[in-house]
Amino acid sequence: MTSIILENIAKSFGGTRVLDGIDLAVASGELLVIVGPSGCGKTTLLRLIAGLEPITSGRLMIGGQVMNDIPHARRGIAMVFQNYALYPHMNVRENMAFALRVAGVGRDRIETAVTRAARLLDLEDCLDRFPRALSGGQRQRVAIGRAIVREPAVFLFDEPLSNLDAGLRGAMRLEIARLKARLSDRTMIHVTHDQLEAMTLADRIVVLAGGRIAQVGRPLDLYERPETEFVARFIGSPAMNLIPATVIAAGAVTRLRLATAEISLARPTPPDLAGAEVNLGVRPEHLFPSGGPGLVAGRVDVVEALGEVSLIHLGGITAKLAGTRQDLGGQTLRLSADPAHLHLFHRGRSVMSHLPLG
Amino acid sequence: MPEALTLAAATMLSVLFTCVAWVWGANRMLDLIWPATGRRAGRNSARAGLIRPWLFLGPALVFMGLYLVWPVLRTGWLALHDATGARFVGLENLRWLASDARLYEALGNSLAWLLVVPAVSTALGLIAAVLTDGLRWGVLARAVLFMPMAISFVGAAVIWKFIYAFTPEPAPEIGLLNALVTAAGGAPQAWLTRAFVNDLALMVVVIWMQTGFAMVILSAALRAVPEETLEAARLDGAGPWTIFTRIQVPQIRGTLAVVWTAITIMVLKLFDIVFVMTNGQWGTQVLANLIYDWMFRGSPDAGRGAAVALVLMALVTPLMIWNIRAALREERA
Repeated sequence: MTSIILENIAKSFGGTRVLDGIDLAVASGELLVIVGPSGCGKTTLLRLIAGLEPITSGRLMIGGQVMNDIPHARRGIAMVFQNYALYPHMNVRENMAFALRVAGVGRDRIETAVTRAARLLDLEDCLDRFPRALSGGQRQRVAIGRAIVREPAVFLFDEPLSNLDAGLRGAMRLEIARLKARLSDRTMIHVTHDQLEAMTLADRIVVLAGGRIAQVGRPLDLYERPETEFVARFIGSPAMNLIPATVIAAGAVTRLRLATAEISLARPTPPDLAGAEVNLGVRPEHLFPSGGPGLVAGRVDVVEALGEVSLIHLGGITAKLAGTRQDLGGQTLRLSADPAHLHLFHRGRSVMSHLPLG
Repeated sequence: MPEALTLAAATMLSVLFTCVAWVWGANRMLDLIWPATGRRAGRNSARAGLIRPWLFLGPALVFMGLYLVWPVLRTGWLALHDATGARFVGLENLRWLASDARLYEALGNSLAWLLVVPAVSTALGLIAAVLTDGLRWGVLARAVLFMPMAISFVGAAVIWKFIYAFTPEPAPEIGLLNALVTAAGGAPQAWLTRAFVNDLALMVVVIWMQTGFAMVILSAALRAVPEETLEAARLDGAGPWTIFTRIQVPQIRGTLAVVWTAITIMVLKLFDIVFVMTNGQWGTQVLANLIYDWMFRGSPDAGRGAAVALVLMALVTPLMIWNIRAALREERA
């Protein structure tokens, strides 16, 4: 039953402000994923919550208690580090038992806790081995086990999967999802730059950009209703296409002039938008070839056939079409999309109200 | 002076020239004898390939043998002969050694040195490494602590001889230590002639010199300890002392052992400090100084000197092997 509340948190290193105006409420038992490009401050934010870095200004509350100046050991949190940070001179059992031994917990209780964690993480055969004799995936599980034995109210994961190869990463992602299901009353904050990890694991996602929160929402919220161009392009792969357009008429019905045609959208925009230069956003998977004028037209430069889908590139636009479409190479193509899947951005911000979520 | 410089330069050039000439000439010779052409090209080049490494290694092996292996063998030979090396006496020297009180005094002192100096130097070095780490003026503190390493043992001994100096009345005292003692209301002491105290006084000099060495090596090792393991330990609830004793020190165990044994070996071979400060008198004799005494002083006895040298070698060798192995292991890890 531990919520985390961040109020107007800021962090500076020397004169450099790396986090600014962070307001965030993490519900008890929630798995929140923080994503963002490198250097956006996501790891720093996690370290502030962990207490590894002092907070420059703002208020951090964990479980209803202000934690700014509470030492990390008493915050009731455990952290899993990107490069595992296992103690190389201790075997797996000692690694997992260390926190409890420091806390002066009795031998029997330590043994029970370690055994239970080892069973949960399938590490029973490795308990007497040293970290250097473990594979990457096993090390990662030991790091998680070390967090589990302490029975913390809050788990912090700092890019725990980024040092694993692709196959193992998928497996470990599933394992974290299972862990979350088993420890459903624990609050977890997971930092990653991998949007696939974010989409699959998160109850909610925080997109961080340049030290500020760009958007918070459920994974599909972010996918379907991005509030900014940045979020629109950060979530989803390949990134959303942006097509320059001019607003001819705004209001209840929006009319846009594109390079190919003029289109009408039965979706409201602010009336003062008329005449503005905007970007029409459409995801590659929502584009399809059409007989009409379409949204974009051009000659196909490259076709990347991935088997189940093909990525078609024309000009700067990417379309994701089902099946193998190498036949489209070199052809002139017109692409269109369902108006429900279109986004409109003015100066980087979404200006067209979205349809209610189905 | 200019002649000396010219001579040195000429020597260096001629050595360089000789080296190049040897490598080039030997290689050329080999190619002439077994040319890698014609009908037997394969066999010839295989044969030349067997010999080539030895040709290149040859000079180095000769000099190594001359300056490292030969003295060892010669020492062994001397130990089996009489004072002038003229007459074979078998194990007579060793038998004499076994009943020599001065050997036992030296061995006893060496043991005391072994117990105190490596432990204290390593411990102080470790403490200095930890304390100076992360301090803004840590670099300066480290430089000051390391400086004694740049002084020769003889220089250090002379400096400390002044510190321990004692002048009988009525001449004024010049020793720093006695100045402190008298300032505190005590009577000046002749530090270097008092048994036991003088041993400690000599050990202090070596500790003063070796702490900097230990500190530099250990501080490098401490920095190599992954920062994340320390942070993980902090999150695991460990305080600074627990982190130091259970996370940092265990991770630099290997380096600690290497530093420890390096100082141990140095201490076993210790000569200069004792020679300059007390010359082994007043109960401060150590093995190396004893060797020197027998070899070169009074009526020299090469046999007995060599016998003592063998004892020293027997003590140092196992440590040396262990130290080299540990260092190699560290390097690989």
